[in-house]
Amino acid sequence: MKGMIPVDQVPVGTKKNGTITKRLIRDKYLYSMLLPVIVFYIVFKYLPMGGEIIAFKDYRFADGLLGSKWAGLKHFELLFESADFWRVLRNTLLLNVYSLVFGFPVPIVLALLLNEVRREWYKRLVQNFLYVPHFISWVVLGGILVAMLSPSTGIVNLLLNKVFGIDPIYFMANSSWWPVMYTLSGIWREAGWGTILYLAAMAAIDTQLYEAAKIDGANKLRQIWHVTLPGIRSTIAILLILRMGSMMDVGLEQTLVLQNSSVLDVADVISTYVYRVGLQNMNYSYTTAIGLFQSIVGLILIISVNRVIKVSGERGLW
Amino acid sequence: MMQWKKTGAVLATVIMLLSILAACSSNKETPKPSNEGVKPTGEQTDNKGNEPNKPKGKISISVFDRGWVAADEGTYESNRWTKWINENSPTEVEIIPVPRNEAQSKLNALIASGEAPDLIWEYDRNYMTQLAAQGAIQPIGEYIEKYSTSYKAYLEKNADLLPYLTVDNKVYAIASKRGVDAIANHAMWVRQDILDRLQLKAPTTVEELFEVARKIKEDDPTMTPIAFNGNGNPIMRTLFQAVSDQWYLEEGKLVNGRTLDRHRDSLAFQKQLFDEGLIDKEYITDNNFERANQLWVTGKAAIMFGAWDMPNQFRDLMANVPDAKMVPLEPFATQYGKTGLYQETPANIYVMFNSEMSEEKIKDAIAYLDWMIEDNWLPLKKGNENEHYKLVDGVPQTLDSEQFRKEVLYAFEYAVVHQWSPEASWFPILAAQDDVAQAYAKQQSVSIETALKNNFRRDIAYNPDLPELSQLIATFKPIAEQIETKVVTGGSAMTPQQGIDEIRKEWKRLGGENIESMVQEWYEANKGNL
Repeated sequence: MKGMIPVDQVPVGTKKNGTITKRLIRDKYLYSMLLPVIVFYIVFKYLPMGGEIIAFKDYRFADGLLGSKWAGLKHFELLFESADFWRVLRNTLLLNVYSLVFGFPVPIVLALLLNEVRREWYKRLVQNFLYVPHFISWVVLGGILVAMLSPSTGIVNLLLNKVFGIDPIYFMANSSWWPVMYTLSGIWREAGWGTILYLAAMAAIDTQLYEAAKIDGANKLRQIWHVTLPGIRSTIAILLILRMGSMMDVGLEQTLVLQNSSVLDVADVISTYVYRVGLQNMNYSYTTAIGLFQSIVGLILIISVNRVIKVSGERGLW
Repeated sequence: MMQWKKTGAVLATVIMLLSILAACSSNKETPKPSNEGVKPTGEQTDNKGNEPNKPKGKISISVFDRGWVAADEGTYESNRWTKWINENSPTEVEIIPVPRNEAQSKLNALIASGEAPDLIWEYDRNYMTQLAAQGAIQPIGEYIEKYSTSYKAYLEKNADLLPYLTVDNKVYAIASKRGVDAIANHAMWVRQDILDRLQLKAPTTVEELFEVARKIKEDDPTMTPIAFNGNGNPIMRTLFQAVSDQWYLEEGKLVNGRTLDRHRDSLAFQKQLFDEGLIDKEYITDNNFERANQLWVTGKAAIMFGAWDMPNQFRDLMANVPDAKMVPLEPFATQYGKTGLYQETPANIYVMFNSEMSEEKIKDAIAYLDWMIEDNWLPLKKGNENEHYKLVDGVPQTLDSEQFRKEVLYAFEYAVVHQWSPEASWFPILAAQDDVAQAYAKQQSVSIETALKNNFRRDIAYNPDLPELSQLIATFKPIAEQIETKVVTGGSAMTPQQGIDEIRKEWKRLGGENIESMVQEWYEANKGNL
C-alpha cells in the first residue's frame, strides 16, 4: 500500500511533494484513520471551551448559556479582590512545589534502582508492591495514614518513642507537619506507578552503550550517570513539562480525605474552595472564572518550561 | 474526582450538543420502547375521577438512585412499584433516577441541558431556593388553589408547612410533613449500667456532666467518658444555643451563631472536656468517626453524642458487652437553661415543578400528588397487606424483613408525599421479634420521646438565602473552624475569649457587618413568613 511508507522516509517540506492537498489525497487512508481522534478532540475538548464564556456572564439556568447577562470581568475582580483566594492559591502552589521538588525525582530513582535488579522474579515482586497503592482509593489510604500516624495508637509514633525517645507528635493536626505528610502520602501512592514510563524508556536504551561504557572501565554508578540518565533525559523533560501544567491543581479527593479543622490554614486549596463555593452556591460563573484562571496560569507555565527545556537542548513538547 | 472547570466544560458541551440535537429532531415526545412497565397502561380503562376515554396525562419525576433495587426486581425506572403506580394513579409517570451521592450536580446538569424531569425533588430546602433563583422551577401556588383537592386540604390542615415551601412570597414546592421519626435527629445516650455501678445519676446540668465524666475516668483511666460522631460538634453548640451556621434573634436583631457570647461558652465547655481527657484527644482526625464508634461498641465510652436512632451501635455494643444498658440521655442544662437538640424542619421532600412545564402538565402532576397523599403512599412504604405486612393493633408489622428489604424498601422514595408518622409505642411492633431487636425497640420508644421532649431553638423557620451570605460563609467557615479547633485543642495557646475575639475579627474582615445588615433587611421583608 502506498500510504504505508515509514514516517522517517517521508520527505519533509512541501516543495518536492506538492501542496498539502496532494499529500492529503495520497495518504487519504492514513488521514481517515486520524479522523475519529480529531472529531473526539473537537467535540470533547475544543467545543466545551466555548462554555468558558460563562466566566464573563451571570449564568442562570433559565437564561441558558447564550441568554445569560454579560457581567464583564466582575467575577475575576471578585476573585482577585478576595484576600482568601490568595491564601488558597498560596496553599495550592506550596503543596504543588513540595510534590514537585520531592515527588518528581522519586520515580526516577526508583526506576534506576529497579533497572539494576538482575533477578527478574524479584523485580516483578517489587514492582507489584510499588503499584498496589495506586489502585487503592484515597479514602482507604487516608484511613491507613491517619491510623499509622496517630499519637496514641499509631506505629510511627510508637517507633519514634521506643527508638529515639521522642514524645508523640500529632502529625495530621499540625500545620507544619501536615504538608509533609500530604507530600509523602502522594509519593507513596503514585511514585511506583510513575516508574512505568521511565522503565520503558530505559528498556529502549541500546545495550551496546553499556558494553562500551564497561570496556572504558565505568562502574555501575558511572554507567547510570553516563548512559541510563542521558537515555531517559527526554522522557524526564516531557514529564516535567506535563507536570508543570497541573501546578494549579491539587487533587480534591486526597485533600478532602487528609484535611481536618486544625490544619485548614495550609490545607485549604483551590479545589476545595471551588467545591465549597461552586457546589453550595451554584456559582457557575465564578467557579468557571477560577477554572479559567487556573488553566491560563497552567498554560503559561507549560509554555515557559517548554521554552526553557528547548533552550537547554532537549526536544520539549513541540 | 470532580473538578469544576471540567464540570463547566462538560456542561457546556452537553448544552451545545443538545442544542444541535434539538435543532435536528423537532418532535418533543419520543416514545420510549424500552420501558415495558410504563407504556401499556396509557390507553386502558381509566380509573378514579378521570373522564372516560381521555388518555392519561404523562409526567416525569426524579428519584434518588440508592442502588437498592435488586437485579430480579428490575430497575429504578421499571419494577413492580412503578408498574403499580402506573396502573393505579390518574397520571402516567416516568421515573428518572439520579445517583444519590451526586444528586444535585446530576440534576443541575439535566436542568442545564433541558433534559430535567417535570418534577424535581430534594430534601434540601436550600436547593429549592437556588433553583428558584436560577429560574429553573416555577411558582405553583395558584395551581394548587385551582387544581388540587387532597393536597390542598392537607396543606390547610398543616399550614405550618407553608413558610418552608415559600420563596419570595411565592409557593415553589409541594411537600408533606415528616413523620416524628424523621423530625427527631440528634440525641445523646448513656450507659446506665456504668452509672449504676458507680452509683451516679444521669447528669442534668453541665456541672453534673463533668462530675459524672470525671468519676468514670477515675474509675477506669482507659475509658474515654464521652464519645461523639458527626453530630457531636453541633450538639455541643446546641446545648449552648449557638449552632454555627444558624441565625439567632437577639433583641430583634439576627445574629450569626458563631459570633455569639454563647458560642464562646460552648467552646469553653468543649475545651474543658478536652483538657481533662473526657473526650477523645484525637477527635480532629477522626473524620469518619470510626474511632468514636469503636470506643462506644467496645464499651470504652459511657456517654454518646449521636442520633436518636442508633441500632447498629446498640447491637454491636450488646454483642461485645452483654451486660451493657444503653439508654437515652436527656439534654442537660447549661447556664442558659435547657434546650432540645437538633430536630429537622417539618417539610419532608420538596417536590418542585420544572419551569418548562405547561399548565396541562402541572394539572396532571398535581393530580398524581393528590392521588399519592390520599393513602397510596402506604404500599410504597410498607408493601402489600398480608404479603409484606400484617396489621397488629392497626400498626403494619413487617412479615419477613429479608423479603421486605428486597421487594419493598427501595420504593419508599416514590412516595414523595405521605402521611406516615409512627407513634413511640409502635416501635416494638414494627421491629423484628428477636431479643436484641426488641430490647432496642423499647429504648427506641423512649429515645424518640426524649428527643422530641424539648424544643430545638430555631428563632426563624429557615436561614436567610442570600448569595452574598453563602459566599461569605464559604470563606469564613474554614477560618472559624480552625480557630475553634485551636481554642479547644491548643491548650493555653488561645483562650475561649481570645478565640471568639478572633472569630469576630475575621467575620468583620470578610464583610460580616455588611452581611448582617442585609440579613436584617431580609428578615424585615420576610418576617411574616418566618
